[in-house]
Amino acid sequence: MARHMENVIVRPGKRPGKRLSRSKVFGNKFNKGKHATNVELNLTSMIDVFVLLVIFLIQQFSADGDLLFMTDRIKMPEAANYEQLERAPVIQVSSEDISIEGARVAQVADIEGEEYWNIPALEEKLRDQKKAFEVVRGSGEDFKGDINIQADKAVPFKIIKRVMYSANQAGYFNINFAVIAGSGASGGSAGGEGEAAGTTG
Amino acid sequence: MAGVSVDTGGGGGKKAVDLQIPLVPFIDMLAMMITFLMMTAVWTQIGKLQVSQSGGPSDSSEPPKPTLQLNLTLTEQGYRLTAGSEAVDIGKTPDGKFDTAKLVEKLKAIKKDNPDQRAITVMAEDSIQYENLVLAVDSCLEAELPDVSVSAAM
Repeated sequence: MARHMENVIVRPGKRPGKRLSRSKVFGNKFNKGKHATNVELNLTSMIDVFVLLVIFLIQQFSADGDLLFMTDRIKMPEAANYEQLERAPVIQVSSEDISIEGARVAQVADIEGEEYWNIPALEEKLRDQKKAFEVVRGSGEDFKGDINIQADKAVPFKIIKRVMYSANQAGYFNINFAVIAGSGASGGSAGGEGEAAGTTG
Repeated sequence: MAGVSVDTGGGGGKKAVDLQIPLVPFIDMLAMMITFLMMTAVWTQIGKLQVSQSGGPSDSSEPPKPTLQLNLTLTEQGYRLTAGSEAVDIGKTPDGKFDTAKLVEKLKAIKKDNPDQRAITVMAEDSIQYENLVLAVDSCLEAELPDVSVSAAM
């Protein structure tokens, strides 16, 4: 009886006749179910890719983090003979305004026409920063007077010298120009006036 | 479960000697590391060029040795390099750019003649762009003149 039932219950679908199923040419079309359908994921190559990615990213890793806030308004110049940037107050100089630690202190257009060298708002902010450093660190650590200037490459020296003078007046004597690692001076000649017009525009 | 079977042989023994290395936690760890490192990656390499303003205090403990008074002035016409009483003009290239290659060459020649020379004062006119000032400072550092002072051109 059981043997009889086995013959009765069949899987739904196309069923060839006996003669067709024995055919060498067409018979294989009806034998799909017999192949193994389990596919093993190839994990070895995936782990290889992961390990390579981790190695590459560890090379890019920097414990210092981002010391400067990059903005599209400030395109920094390139230099080849640079040193490691350290944590210090950052003065950002774009072609429009001057900011310290992200807070705008002066408009470039306003200070361009002034005769005296210092920028009072900037100097005051820097003095506050220095005072805050001395209060927080106390006498345990000497004030080095480091300051980072992150300026756009098209800014004229007229503005830079005022920023430097203000920093000097506030007690910051170690001035660092923030630069992007690149070819710098060894890469060829410096940008001319024509190129500068393009960057300012 | 994903794993790697390591057949250590010994088919005659009764105990199973197959070892499964669990790969799933390993892949999880790698995925977490990749996520963390991608978030903290610093894609732009940033450095600094240390300068001092002319007249500021020097941070070096050693007393300065008597050396040449070396000045580099950036003008609209090009560089003007003054070493003591001698002055050399380095004009711009035909395409209107500052000739940094020639400047580095001259500075290296001065450094070769005066190995103790470390200081140089870079002066610039008001209209000179910051990029050109940075390249001049970079040239000085390339010529092994690390004590760069920046001043306004008189």
